[in-house]
Amino acid sequence: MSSKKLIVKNTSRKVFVHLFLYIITASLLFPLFWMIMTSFKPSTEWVSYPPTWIPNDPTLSNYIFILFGTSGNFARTYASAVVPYLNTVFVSVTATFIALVVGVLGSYSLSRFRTRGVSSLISIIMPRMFPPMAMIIPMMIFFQVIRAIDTYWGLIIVYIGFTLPYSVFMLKGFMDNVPKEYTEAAMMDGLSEWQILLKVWIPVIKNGLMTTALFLLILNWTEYTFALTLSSREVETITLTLAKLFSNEAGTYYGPQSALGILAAIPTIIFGIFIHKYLAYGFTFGTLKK
Amino acid sequence: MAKLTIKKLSKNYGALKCLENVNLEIDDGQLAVIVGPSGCGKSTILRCIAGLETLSEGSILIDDELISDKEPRYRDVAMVFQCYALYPHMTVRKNLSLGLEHTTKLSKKEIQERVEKIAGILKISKLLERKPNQLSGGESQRVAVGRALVRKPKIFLLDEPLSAIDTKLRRELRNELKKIQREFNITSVYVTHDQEEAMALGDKLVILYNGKIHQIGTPEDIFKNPENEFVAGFIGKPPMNFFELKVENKNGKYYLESEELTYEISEGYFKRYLYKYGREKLIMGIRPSSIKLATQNTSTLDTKTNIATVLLIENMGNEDYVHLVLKSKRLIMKIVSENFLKIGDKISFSFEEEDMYLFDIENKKSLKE
Repeated sequence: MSSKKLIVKNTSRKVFVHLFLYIITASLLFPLFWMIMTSFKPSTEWVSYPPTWIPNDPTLSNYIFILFGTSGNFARTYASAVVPYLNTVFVSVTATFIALVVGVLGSYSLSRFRTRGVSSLISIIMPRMFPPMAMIIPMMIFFQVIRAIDTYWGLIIVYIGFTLPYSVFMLKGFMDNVPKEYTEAAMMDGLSEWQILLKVWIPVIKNGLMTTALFLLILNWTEYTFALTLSSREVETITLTLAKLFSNEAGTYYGPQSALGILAAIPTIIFGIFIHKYLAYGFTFGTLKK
Repeated sequence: MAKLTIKKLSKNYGALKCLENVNLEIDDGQLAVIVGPSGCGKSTILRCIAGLETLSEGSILIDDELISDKEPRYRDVAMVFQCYALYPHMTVRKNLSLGLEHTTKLSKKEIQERVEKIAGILKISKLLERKPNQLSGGESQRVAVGRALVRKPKIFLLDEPLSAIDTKLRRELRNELKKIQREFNITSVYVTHDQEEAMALGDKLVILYNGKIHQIGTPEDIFKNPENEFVAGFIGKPPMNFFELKVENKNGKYYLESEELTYEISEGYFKRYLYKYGREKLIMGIRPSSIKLATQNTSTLDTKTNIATVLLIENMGNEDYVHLVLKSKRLIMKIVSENFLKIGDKISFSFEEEDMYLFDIENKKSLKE
């Protein structure tokens, strides 16, 4: 009797939990669904009322417009989004890579040698604590002086500076969890400081490294404010292109924006899937008994 | 093939004195066991030898060559960690060969030969391609030992290597470790808090307490002639019983006396050990195995016999640890298992005067030098 009751209770509980999870998942995926649908809608359906959930008259014109900058259905022509796309790839990948490398070196020394003062977490993350807007005017002037406005290297440097605190902050967290015995065993096995980092620490924190890489890449990939103020003419990135898809006659180009949004999301999604197992497994430190 | 010498080693963490004036010599091929309660600084000595800690004072020499200012990798010392610390991302083979790759100029082929050979000795040949998380505790232990020995270091350090392993396997591995140490004839320092393990393993025992060495000697020597109260109480299972007694002289007879216990000693005994002892009180220690049941009949008390009540009987198989109460004082007696003893029984017990250990009440040093 009581066991039956329990089963009933458990089943209803399961149903409830699953229902709850479906609702959450649906609400999280809905914007993506809406964006995908909009990207295949002709301009008449973008903001029509009542909304069309599935495009009545699906078209690829939005994608064509994004790739070639023109399409028969649009009044205005733009430059193709291919160049901004490649710009974004180049700038964010380079900046992520460098921020990661410098972050590894920085966090290694902070974590391994337990430096006092500078190692306090607050001081690492401090540069990120005031809004970027507050820094932009002085940075614009400074970039003007050093002729870094509208250059790839200028933007890359800004992105490195912008993500490095996160890089050190996150990596230090992972590195602080590396048991000191690994380091000591490696010291006794004759490894130099560099070898300890490369052959022991990095493989041990591989999961953390991948997670940090994804996080930095997303930050750089979606950055808008610095790109807008420091390099909007020559080095245009996707975020800037998205904002430009607008005309006085036709209003915002929701269709092409959605199409570009989809194209822009693909690389980070692929990278995310690629490192999914590192994210999912999280932190397992193998043999050490604690 | 190396002799290890530690001279006047001290280690402070700020105001905290972790090690004080440690002097130790370990001969070629000897296995020295540093034993003491947790937090006494025994691991710190090991870490100082390994070069993982800097010394505050003193020096460490291998074969009269100063090593205490060298980096760990130039010391030719290997260590087995308590938690094994096998590199989790490398196979057992790689774990074993890494040290050789970095400290020797052997060719890849020679390195693999050495790895195969040590794996054969330690019976881990089948595990070479596995990762550490696929190993059991005992296997990890063997790999950790292999990783240290494959380099043929001058000094082999073991930091409580068996503490994470269950009792039965621990005994097995303990004997195996000793065998391997003999075979390699390698100077070793072994740290443990388990006095039984220490007694079983060591050629030489070093009793460490509060950062100071209390006694160095062979296991037999330390068991028979503890230099002070701490050593006497630490070594031996179950631990020694201690009494604070007064030395009395009544009608030409000598007694050791307290509220709980009275014990007559011979004049010869008094003259040998207590004649020069100026103080009124002393500490007497008696091992549980030295205490004998006198008789069931409590009426025939002689001057060496006392009466106690049985409080608890711990059955250890072929022997019993009998906990007794003497007024407010508790003591333990170790006897061959007897079924007739029951909790609450009044029994009389006695012991030989030569089995007593006598310690100075002030400085706790043995009076039987």
